[in-house]
Amino acid sequence: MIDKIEIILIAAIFMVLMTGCSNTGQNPQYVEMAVVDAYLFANEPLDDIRLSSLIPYGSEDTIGTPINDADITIKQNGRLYHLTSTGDSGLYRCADSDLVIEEGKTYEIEFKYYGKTISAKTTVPPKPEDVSISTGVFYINEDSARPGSFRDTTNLEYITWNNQDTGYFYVVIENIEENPESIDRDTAFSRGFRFISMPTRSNSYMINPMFTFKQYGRHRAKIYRVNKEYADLYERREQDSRSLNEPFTNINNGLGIFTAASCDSVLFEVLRK
Amino acid sequence: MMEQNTSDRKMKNLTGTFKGLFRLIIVSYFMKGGVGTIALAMVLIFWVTAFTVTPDTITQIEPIDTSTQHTSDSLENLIPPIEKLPEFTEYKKAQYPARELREGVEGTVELELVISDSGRVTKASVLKGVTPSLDSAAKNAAESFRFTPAIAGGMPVPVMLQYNYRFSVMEELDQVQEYVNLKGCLKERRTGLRIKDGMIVASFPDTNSDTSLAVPWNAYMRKISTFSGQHIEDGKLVTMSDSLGQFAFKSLPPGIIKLTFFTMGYPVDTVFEKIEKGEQLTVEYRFKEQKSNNYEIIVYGKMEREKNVSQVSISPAQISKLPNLGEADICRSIQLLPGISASNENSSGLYVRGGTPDQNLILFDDFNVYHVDHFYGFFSAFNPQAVKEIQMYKGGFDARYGGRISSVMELTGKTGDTCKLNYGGGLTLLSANAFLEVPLIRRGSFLFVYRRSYTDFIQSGVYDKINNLFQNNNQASQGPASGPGGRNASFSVEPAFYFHDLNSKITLNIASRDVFSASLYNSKDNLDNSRESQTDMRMPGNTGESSVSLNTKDYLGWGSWGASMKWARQWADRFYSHTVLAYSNYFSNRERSSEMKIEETMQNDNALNEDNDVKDITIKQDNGWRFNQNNKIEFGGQISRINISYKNTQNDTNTIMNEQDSAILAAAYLQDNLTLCKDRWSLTPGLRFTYFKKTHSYYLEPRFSTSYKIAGPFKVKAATGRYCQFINRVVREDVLSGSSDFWLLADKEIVPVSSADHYISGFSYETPILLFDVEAYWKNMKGLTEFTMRYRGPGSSGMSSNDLFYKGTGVAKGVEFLLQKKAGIYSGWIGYTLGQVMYTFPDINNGKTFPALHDQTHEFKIVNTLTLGEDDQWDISGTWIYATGKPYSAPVGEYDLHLIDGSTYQYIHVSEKNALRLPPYHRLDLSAKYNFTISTDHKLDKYKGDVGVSLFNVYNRKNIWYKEFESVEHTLVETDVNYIGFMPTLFINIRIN
Repeated sequence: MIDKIEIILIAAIFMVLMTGCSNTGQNPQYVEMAVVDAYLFANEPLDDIRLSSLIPYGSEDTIGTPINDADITIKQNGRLYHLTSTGDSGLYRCADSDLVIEEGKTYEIEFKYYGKTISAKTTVPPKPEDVSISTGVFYINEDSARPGSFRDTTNLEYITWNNQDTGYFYVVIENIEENPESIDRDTAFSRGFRFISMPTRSNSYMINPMFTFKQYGRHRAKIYRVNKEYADLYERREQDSRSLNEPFTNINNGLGIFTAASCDSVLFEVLRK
Repeated sequence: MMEQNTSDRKMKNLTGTFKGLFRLIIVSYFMKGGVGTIALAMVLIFWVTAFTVTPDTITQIEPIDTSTQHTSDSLENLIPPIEKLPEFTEYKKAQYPARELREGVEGTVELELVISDSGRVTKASVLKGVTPSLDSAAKNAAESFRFTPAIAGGMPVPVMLQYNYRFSVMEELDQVQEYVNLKGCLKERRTGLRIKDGMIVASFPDTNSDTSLAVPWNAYMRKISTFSGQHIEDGKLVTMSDSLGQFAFKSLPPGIIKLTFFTMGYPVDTVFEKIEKGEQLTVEYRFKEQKSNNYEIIVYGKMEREKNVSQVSISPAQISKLPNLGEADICRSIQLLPGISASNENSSGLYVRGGTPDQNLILFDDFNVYHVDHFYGFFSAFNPQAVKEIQMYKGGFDARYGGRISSVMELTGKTGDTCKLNYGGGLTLLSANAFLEVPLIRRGSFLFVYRRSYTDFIQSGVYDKINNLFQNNNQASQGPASGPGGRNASFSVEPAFYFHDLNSKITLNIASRDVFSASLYNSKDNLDNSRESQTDMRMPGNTGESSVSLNTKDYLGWGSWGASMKWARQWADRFYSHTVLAYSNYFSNRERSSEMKIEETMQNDNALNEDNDVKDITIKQDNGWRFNQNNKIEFGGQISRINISYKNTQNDTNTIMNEQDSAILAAAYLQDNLTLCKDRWSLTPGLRFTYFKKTHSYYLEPRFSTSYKIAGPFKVKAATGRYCQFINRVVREDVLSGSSDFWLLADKEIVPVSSADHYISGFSYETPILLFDVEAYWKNMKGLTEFTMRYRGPGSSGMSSNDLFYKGTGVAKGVEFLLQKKAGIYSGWIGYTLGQVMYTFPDINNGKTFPALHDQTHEFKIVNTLTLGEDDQWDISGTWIYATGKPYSAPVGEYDLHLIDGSTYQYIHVSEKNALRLPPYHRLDLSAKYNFTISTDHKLDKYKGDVGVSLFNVYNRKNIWYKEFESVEHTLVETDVNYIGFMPTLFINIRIN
């Protein structure tokens, strides 16, 4: 009886194994997808919107093929604005000067690609309020301001703004001099150095002069208020190869981003001590 | 007429003779004999038996002979009717003949009684007998009956009636009294530790010639098997030892009995005892601990203790015989069981029936263990030398356990020798270990076990292989630099690493009913990334070069502390309680400091401390009350306070971050262990009730399990239950930052309370040698969380925690097969699992269901052990594991996006989540161990030990751990990162006592 049980068990296992074979290592099938690269800035005309296609792996293309023949519409408050292609670079702009990006307004984009309707929606966030900086001048002790120096916490300064509704912000600090001078004489930059923070939901940003500044001169700190879709895209841009996740997108039936932002800025100087 | 049925005829005769009754009685009174008397008697017999009660003893007589009817009719006016029937005033029980009683002869003797007008039985005759002795006994007893006389016409009259006397053995057995005549205690010889849940089987070698019982042997056994605390199995009487190692047998027949002991961790033993009539025998049995080369201790579904569905018991002695990765590993051995994934070389965590390791409740001497591995997850942090027993509940666990939704692993620590001092040690290619046992005033013991790796100063080939696996992985996983300073994330320093763990336990037998124990546990991994550099460089403002030295200390330590104090008391034979105070701590510390000097002058001094901590204090009470033999009620409760803190300070004074969270968890449970149908059917309904203060909510967790022995070795079983979990773990990937697992308390907003409903059913066929077990399971999981990004720690991204988690549900289902040979020179098992785990997260994969990362469709394991040699010196074992590939997502294409800050970033578009499968995983491991004993002239068996070799992945199969994808100039480069290949290891252990 035991022999029969063994035979039946082994046969059952083999049957299950044979029927349980699964696909291993085959490449997934490529599907045509449109990539939308579009930003709306408050109180500014519509910036160029870029459309391109996904680059399949194995293809000889190094950049996404621009999509130049899409019929794109932007809808705002029931009114449709048609965008026209500027050439063969996949860029589209709106000839209608009535289209102005305003805070608090919602804009929708839509077009067709390979039989699918690609669409997205975004609302322009309000401009950051009460933006200020704790000091207008930073003094750098150049002997200690070398790359790799550790933080000197005694000279911390802060950029602050009002964030009562816990929105998303990030800070860009850039040198606006035409020919800025490097703090470390051994290090030269070909242009004004820019520093970009990660998105934050707080209401302040700490500046450590030793880290942040590489050049003397006038600087502008731009505080962007962005939407959650942009913060998600930014935060999830690093994809772990062990557990690949699809990058964030708010494009229906497509890839990329259609989002809005608003900005305010403060100016300050970096001087040698 | 001829077609009249019997009942009609009887009724007709009854009616017809009614009239004659009066006449016959009167005639009889006057005639006192002759035809009239006979006729009267016949009529009366018919009359009385037709209308009187006591069907058991008095039967109906045949209808009256119609040939006399004419005579009765003529006398009907002379014989008055019976007004009152005879009633018993004195009943005498017949003496059951000894021989018939002993032989179990029983039956009904039909008597005919003549009762005089004074109520005495003047004559008793046997109408239908059983045996001469029974007939005679019944007749003699009947002759002593006394009645009230029958009344007819207002006067006592003699009557004749039929009486049936029944002889029943069972009725005699009701006289058997219940009393304890054998009681004892099971203890371990070396330590005096009381052995609970041992099975004691009493058999009686010579029942045929045994004349001490008055009743049949089998009948007596059936009777005494109904007494509480014992039952009959295959003709033998069985009982179990309680939590204090005590057991008792009741009403054992006098004579020689054979007691056989089946106890976990000890060899099967047999003794003979003599039971004297009317006396109580009290004994104590001491068992020698199981030697490591006897694998008969492997139990899977064995004995009555396997009444819990999906429960498995394993002894560490068996674990030492199996092939290993350089260290005997409890969790790796448990992974060889069906239903538990064995193809995760990078993790000793248990993926049980589709669950993840943080969903398992790990208890060591009743305290929670939050961090269970060493060496980046490669080894479990439990030293088998310090563990006595492991109970694994793969699902459907009862109401005593809560707080996790997948499984329970309960480890019991060893206790020391109560009689003499013992010490010893061992060595592997990674670590050394030592132990010390000290008796305490003969009523207790102290045990200390310590293990430490020497990998910080000697890096063996084993260490290099494992370390390279994780170091290479870490370098590959470092993404593009980001953040201030744009630091490069490549590492060229070789960190120094070591781990250690220690176990300590004090056990005291305070009194015969009280046992006190205290247990301490610590495990820690240490990683030293410190580095020094010195260089000559030109400083700003100087023309010449200066000597610049940079001294960086980067020290990481992570691990666990655990402690418990337990008081076990047997209040009465049927009631016991356990009171436990437990403490658990998971910690992770990082200390970084740097000094920069130029020409020996301090320029900069900076220090950063990062502490991540989980503390759990629990007090719990468990009670058991054996209501009767078939009913045991268990109830209890616990209160836990859990504190989680994350602190980041700079220069010891500046606190950058300080996040604290805490919660109180209170639970109570009640369950009933029932056995019905002569112990064939067991049921355990239970209820667990939990209050979690953080959510201000109550959680009801019903539980139920049952098993039924259909016939002989066949059993069917089922279990179901609701399980809730209130704390979750995030695993950090960057191993050079240490094992900074983050534990997060559930709440109503960010991390939900997770729950799972288990449904389990199966059957088993078990003989003393063979076990075939099949179990199917289904788990519905809710409140699962996945993390949206690489989690660098609370607040590290500046984003709120609410944005860091995806929330979803999952379903795990499957069926497990096990075929095990339990005993003999060769033993082992074959396990096969067919399973599936599917997740649904609205924010992942466009809301479509996808396989979990640990989903594996087929897993097949063969485990073999062979013991050779006269004294079982050699243990040879081999395991082979085959599993179909785990899922992964693959890139399909890429695209560029411009960010608001002007930068351009390249993104990878991914296939459907986990839509592809890695190639199958399989490997063969072999090991050989030689057990030796070195005797001296002064004392036998003074030195014992074992030495052996273990071969991991014998045919060097390149099993893929994961695939890496990198876009190089728009070309996708796919790299397979493989697990460890062939790796031999050596080990030696010596015990001195």
